[in-house]
Amino acid sequence: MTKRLLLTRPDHDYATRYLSAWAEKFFDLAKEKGCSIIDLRRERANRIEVESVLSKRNPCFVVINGHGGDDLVAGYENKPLLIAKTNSSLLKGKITYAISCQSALVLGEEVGRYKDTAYIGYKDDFILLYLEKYRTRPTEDNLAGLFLEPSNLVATTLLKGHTAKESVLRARQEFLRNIQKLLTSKTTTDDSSALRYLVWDMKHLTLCGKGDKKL
Amino acid sequence: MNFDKNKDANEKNAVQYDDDVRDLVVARLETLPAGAVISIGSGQELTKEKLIQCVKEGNETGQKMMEIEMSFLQGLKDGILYDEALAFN
Repeated sequence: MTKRLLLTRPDHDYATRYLSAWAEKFFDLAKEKGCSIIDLRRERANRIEVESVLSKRNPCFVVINGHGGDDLVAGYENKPLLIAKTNSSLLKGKITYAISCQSALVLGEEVGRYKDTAYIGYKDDFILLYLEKYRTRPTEDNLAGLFLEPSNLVATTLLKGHTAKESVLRARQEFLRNIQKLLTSKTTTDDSSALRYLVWDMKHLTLCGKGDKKL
Repeated sequence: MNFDKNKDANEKNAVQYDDDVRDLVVARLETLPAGAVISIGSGQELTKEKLIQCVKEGNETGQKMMEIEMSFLQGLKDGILYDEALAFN
């Protein structure tokens, strides 16, 4: 049976455009691993479409790119998609990765309590540092890459058949590798100013629920 | 859009940072590259100059930047940059 990956990419501001562009980097791997991608982009990243896909097409992996709060993740124009105590049960039995601020705190905790379910997200704000001059070509922005490559590793590790816990560990290791690279190499002050934000994201990347769950 | 329903409670419980911390954070933010933008919170995208202004004003975003800086410095003391810090608690 084909595995399905649901992806939301609201693309309504620069931060969500960065997330969206970098997410495309794991599309080929997903297809290579036999996953079909349900890509809800821009206006389609709305609650009605997300609820419909989750209930009718039953994706095993959900990747949310967008803004959020402790009890929700949002889509196009910051309108809520999945909300604790409202429609979080739609994530039951799945692995979700939310690249979004704070959602692991309440929503993730709640989703992680469902049987055979894993939720990966951030317990506090997800910080992304980027350069204005790359706004129109985000994947060329190496500064943003320091943040988004470790983040993408959650998805790629899962797609390669590893567990949710391994995906979080590998992503944290990649954050740490970037931090250590900045500390030890002859990098410019410009790059090393990213250190504290990488440490912040590494520290707040969290797994809720079943650690040994695989796709 | 304000997603943080606990904002008021958070603000009441927020750590108040003194002027030394504020000056330190401003100095650290000055080292950000020209043209750097930070995306933080629910859709805020702030330039280096705007961030520095937020810290000087001590508003919610400025407080967050101070929290991040202090968390980094505390983390260094606690060995957050060693591999074992990655282990699940």
